[in-house]
Amino acid sequence: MATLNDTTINSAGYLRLPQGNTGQRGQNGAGSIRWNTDQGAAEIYNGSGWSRVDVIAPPFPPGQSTYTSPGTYTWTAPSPVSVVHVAAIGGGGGGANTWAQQGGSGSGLGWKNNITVSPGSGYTVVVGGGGGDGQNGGTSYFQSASTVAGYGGGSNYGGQTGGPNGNSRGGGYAGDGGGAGGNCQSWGGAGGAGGYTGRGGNTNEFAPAGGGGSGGNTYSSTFGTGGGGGTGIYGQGAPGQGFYTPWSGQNSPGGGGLGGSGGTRGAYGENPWNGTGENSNNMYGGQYGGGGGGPGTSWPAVAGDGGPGAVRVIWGTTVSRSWPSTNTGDL
Amino acid sequence: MDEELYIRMLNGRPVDHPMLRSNVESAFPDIDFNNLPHWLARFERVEKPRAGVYEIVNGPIYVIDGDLIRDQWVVRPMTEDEILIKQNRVRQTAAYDQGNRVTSWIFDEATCSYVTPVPMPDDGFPYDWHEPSQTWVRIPPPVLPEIIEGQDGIQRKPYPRGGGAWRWDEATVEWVKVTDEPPEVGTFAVPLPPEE
Repeated sequence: MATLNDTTINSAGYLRLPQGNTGQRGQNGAGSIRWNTDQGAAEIYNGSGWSRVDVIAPPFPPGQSTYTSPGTYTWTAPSPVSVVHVAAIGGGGGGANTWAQQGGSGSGLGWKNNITVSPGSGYTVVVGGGGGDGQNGGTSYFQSASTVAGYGGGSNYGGQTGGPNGNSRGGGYAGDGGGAGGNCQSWGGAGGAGGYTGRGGNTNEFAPAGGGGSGGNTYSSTFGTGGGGGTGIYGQGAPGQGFYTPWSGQNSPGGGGLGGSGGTRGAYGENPWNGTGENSNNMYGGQYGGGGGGPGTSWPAVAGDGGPGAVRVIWGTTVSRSWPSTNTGDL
Repeated sequence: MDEELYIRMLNGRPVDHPMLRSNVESAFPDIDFNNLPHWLARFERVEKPRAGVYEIVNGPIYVIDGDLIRDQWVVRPMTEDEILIKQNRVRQTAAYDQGNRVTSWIFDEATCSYVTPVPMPDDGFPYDWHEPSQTWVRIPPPVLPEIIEGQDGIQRKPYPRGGGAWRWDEATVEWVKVTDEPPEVGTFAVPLPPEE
């Protein structure tokens, strides 16, 4: 055992501590320090026992980044941010691109808290687009689709989009929690986007939904089906609502489902009696992630696009923040 | 998303993906946006173009356009195999759906969709396809019931059609037009509150 006095190490490298498991502990009085391989942490002897030494990250104020346009981005962790919480909503499925057909299904919403990041490092953010003309919506995620993701809504021709926690053609999600998109059935109104703690409304489901409400069905092939409601990206709020119309069962367009948690409603279906109203070219699904409406037969067979996806990254330790609803707004 | 976007540059080429300006400001607080460092450039997002019936959109790749970097999409025609796959998918799905509704519709290769065997009259009136007679039947304007019950449980005359937003007036027991703007969320089901 060497004894050194007032030692200076002239290096920019490192000083490696002695390492060993708990059974290999040895000490030479208070102040002894070593690396415990069982705990994966340093420990120090205080004269009567060993205490684990943890590195505590410095506190950091709240901040957020919100992505609402489809595409791929890099999010760079600002210093000293070391942990973030993320919610991701996929793009809604597109309405079918043939006459008198169904809408698209809603996308999934996934959220995950306490994702470790390194200040200065970049992380991939993908925002899925809404499907157009019978195509599936894109999947939105942070870092990877297995970390936290909202899968895109399916469509008549694209089918299911895969991913865990799906709801037939309604998109699934990955993360600590979330909700699947509402499923759009044959000839039916579009599905609503998934919510923070429950799924979006399925076709023609006139009931509150965890996320966006469903679009309404129609009686006649001439009238289009409604778009699904979207889900907001600022945390859990009031539920969406499937559309209700007094004329359900008569000649009328399907109504657009109402959005959940601040999301926007889906568009009304094509209505040949309303020349200035919504037609088959703008029967969009609600923002974010609502399924697009299906076309009727009065306009060229172009269906409504699904609502776009979104990703929101929040952080902060001076204020407690977490999904689905703890201080998830802009701070 | 109206925020400006920026992207990292390395040896004169873009690397990684665009960053929000607010993210650049927080991650690199010393950046002077009026005098960008050599490793950072403005980025412009270009919306993905809509593909034609037998087209595929690939991309985007990031291209340099002067001081700006932007998305570039490539649209290409489908191969014969890809066309066949798409047509078969539509045929299979349509066959399933039509089992309950119509069987006479025919596959239109040009639009890769099913259409009625007889074109719909183009005289401006709405029609509905009548499968048993294989004809288009003109749809009369909807005949609305005299009284309906709204979601709030109150019985009223039906919400007026023809655009605009309407308020229910209990005194006259009539709908009163409030604005010519298109109907807002839920106005079919949940009438506007009484006027103050």
